Amino acid sequence: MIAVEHLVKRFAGVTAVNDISFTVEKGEILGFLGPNGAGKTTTMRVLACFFPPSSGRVSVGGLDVIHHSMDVRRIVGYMPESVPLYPDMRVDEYLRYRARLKGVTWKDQKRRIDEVLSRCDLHDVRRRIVGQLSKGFRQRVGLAESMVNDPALLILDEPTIGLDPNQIRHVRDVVKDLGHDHTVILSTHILPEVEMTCSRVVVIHRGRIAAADSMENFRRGAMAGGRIRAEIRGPAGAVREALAALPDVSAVRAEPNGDYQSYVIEYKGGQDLREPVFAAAARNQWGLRELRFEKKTLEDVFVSITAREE
Amino acid sequence: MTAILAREIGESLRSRWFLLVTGVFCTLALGVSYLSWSGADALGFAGFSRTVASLLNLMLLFVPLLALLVGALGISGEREDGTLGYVLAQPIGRGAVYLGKLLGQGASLGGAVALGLGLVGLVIGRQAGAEGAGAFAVLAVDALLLGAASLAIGVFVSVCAGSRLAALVFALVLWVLFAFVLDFVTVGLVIAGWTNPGGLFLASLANPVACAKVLCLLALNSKLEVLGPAGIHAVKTFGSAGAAALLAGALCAWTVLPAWIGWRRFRRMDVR
Repeated sequence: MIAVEHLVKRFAGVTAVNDISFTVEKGEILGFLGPNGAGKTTTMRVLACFFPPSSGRVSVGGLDVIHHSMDVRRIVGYMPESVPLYPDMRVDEYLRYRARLKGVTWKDQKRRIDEVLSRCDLHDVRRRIVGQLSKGFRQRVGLAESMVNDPALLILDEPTIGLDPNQIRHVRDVVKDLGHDHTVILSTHILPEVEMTCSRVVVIHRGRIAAADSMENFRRGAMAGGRIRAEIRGPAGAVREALAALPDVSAVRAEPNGDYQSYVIEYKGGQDLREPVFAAAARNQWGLRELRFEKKTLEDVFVSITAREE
Repeated sequence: MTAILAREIGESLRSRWFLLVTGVFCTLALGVSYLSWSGADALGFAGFSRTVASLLNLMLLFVPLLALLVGALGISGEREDGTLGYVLAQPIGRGAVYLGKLLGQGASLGGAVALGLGLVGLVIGRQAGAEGAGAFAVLAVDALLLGAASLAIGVFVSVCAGSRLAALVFALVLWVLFAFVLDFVTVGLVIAGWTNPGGLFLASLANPVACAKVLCLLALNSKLEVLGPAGIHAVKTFGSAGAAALLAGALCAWTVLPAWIGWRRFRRMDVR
C-alpha cells in the first residue's frame, strides 16, 4: 500500500527527515513512534501530499505522490495533530464541505456523513457550532472528516490527544475497526495504545528510522525479558555479584533502603528469574523482603532506542 | 471550486460582516441624501443627482477600505490558522482554491455593495423621484469596479504577507496611500508648478481610487471644470467615451494584474 524509499525532506536548510525507507502492506495498522521533532509529522504530511519530498520516492497505492498527487489525495484521509477547523461552521455543514472538497458525489454525501457521524459518535452534536465544541469533540470531528470519503489509507497524527479515557477507548476501537478494511498509520505518544492496536511499529528518531518491525517480533525480541525488583538484606557487594552471575542478566542496579538494599535486575531472554534470585538469597542466608517481576514494555524499548540514539 | 466559493459566501453571511456593511453603507448613504438639503434650510431626501455627488466621496473611502481588508485577511488568515494547508492537501487544485476564494469574496463584497446601494436607490426613488437614476447606476458600477480592483490588491497582499497582522497593516497603508497620500502628492506637485496634464492623467491611472473618481465625475458631469486638469486632458485627448473606456480599462487592469501576480505567488507558496 505504501512504499517509502530513501525519503529526505528539508526545510530551509534543516533536514527534518533523512533517508528513511519503509513499506506498509494493505490492511496493516502501523504505529509510528518517536519523540517530538523526530520527523513523524513531516513523513506523514509527505504521504498525505501536504508537501513534496526533497528527494526519494514515495508511493501510495502504487501512485507516486509527486506525479499522481491528486489521485493519492483521493485515497488518503489525513487527520493532523491539531485539527484546523472552521469555528463558525456547524459539524454536519463542515463535513459536507469537506466531502465536496474530497470529491464525494452529491448522492453519497448524506450516507457517508451519517456513517462517519455514527462511527465517531457525533450524532448528538451534528448541529452544534464547531467553535463551541470541547477539544475532545473537535478531535472526533477531525477524525470523522478524515474518513468522510472512505479512503483506503488513513493517516492519524495523535488522534487521541486531549481526549478523556472513555473517548480514548472509543477512538482506539474505531481505529481497530477501521483496520479490518483500511490501511492505517497511527502516530501517538500513548505507547500502550500502539501495543493494543498496531500490527507493525516504526520508531523514528532525529529524522531516521531507529527500529521497525512487526508488533509480534517486538514482543519476541526487543520486548522479551524483563526486570525483577528485589529487596535483599546482605553484604551489598556479594549480593550484587551473585545477582549479576544469574543467566541472561544484563544489568543490576542497587539503592539503599534502610537495612535492606533495593535491587533492579534487568535481563534478556524468556525465563522468569524470580526463582533463581530466591534460591541465591536462601543459599547465602540473606533476608528477602520483596520479589517482583516487571514485564518489559514498549515504553522501555522506546526509551532505550531513543536514549541509545542520543 | 464551487465548494470554496460557497464557503466564502456562507462565511461572510455567518460572520455578519455582509449585513453590517450593507447596513452601515445604507445608513450613511441615506444620511448623506437626507442632509443634502440642510444647507438650503430644508430637510428631506435629495434626488439622485445631488445624492450621487455627495455619495461619491463616501464610496471612494468606504469601498476600497472594505475590499482591501476582506482580500488581505482571507488567505493570510487561513494560512495562519492552518486551514489553508489542510484544504490544499485535498484533491483540489491550487487554482481552484485561489479562484474560489477570490470569486467568493468578490461575490460577497459585490453583493453587500449592490444591496446597500440598491436599498438606497429604492428609498430615494420613492421619496424624490427617478430623475438622475442613470447617474446613480453609474456610481454603483463604479463602486463595483473599484471594489473588484481593491479586492484583487488585497488578495495579492494576503498572499505576500507572512501573517494576518502584517496583511492587515499593509492593506491599511495601501488604503491611506490610495485614498489620501497620492491625492496630496498630486496637489503638491501642481502647487509646486508641475502642471503637465498628461503626467497628471497617468498619475491618476496609477491610483485605482483616482481612476474611479475621475470615471464617475466624467459620467456624472461632462463640464470640464469639475474634472480637474487630468480629466480635462483625458477628455480633450481621447474624448469623453474614450477617456471613460480608458479609466474603466485601468480599473479592470488593477483587478486582473494583482490577481494574476497573486496567483503566480500562491501557486508556489510553501504552506505547512
